[in-house]
Amino acid sequence: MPPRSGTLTLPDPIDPAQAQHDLDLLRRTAKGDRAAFAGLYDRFSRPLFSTALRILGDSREAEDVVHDVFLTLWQRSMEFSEDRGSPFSWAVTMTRNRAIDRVRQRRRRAEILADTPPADLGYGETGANTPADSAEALQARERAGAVRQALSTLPDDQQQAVELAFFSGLTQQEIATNLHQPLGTVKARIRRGLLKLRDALVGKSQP
Amino acid sequence: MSPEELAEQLACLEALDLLEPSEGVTLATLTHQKIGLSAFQRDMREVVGQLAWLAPAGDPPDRLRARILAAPLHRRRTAL
Repeated sequence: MPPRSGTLTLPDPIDPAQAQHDLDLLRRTAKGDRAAFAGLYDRFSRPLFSTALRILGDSREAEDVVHDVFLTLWQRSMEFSEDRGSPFSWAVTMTRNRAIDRVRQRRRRAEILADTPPADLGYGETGANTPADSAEALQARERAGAVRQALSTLPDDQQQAVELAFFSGLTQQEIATNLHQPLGTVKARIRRGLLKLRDALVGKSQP
Repeated sequence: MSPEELAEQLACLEALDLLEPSEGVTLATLTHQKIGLSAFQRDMREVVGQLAWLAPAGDPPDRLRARILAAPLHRRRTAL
């Protein structure tokens, strides 16, 4: 295993201090602290909503997903194990999985899988509202910039594979078909991409 | 592919929720065998979590905050 495992240091929002703050909020939420729950909402809602909206392309559905995720955070916060990751990554995983579930339901209903546009990964066609100019919004833009910069250090084929894997809701084989590449190639690109992304993010946060 | 590379690859796919069932079994076996794999899996989940910031930024509507915080939050499964 790579020597850095277990010592990951990433830029916001999971720098150690912020991750600890998130953990404190989640623990207080587990004890029924509504103010802490509201704090979690204010910390996480923007990236979770943006992720759901990017996957679903529908603001109302994205709202429903985020609503469902926060209710789950409230109801299951006592089950959270920090051994498995940060509260933020847990929330992102739930959001992504639920949004993808909806996409797959849609696809099954409409049988539109073949219409999924290859490499439709643009950042611009969002339908999202412009973020407010609050301090949190500015901070969010900085975080997004840091991750995008890290992603830009990857070769194009790895960027494409990682983004498609994260946002599309396609299976491994569907991603391979979509990219017109052998399955093994896609798996290797995802692995190399995530490893480089980790290294890039670690590098950015080091002095 | 070396066992280490296979373990890494499966952990990456797991973090993206792309594991096939048979691969999940293999990863579970490797996790028991390889020191540090659990930490690597955690790292990958954190990296994948960061990908959320790649979504085009959009503020959730104010009504969503009100809707969530006003929801019947008493329906907790168990107390601590």
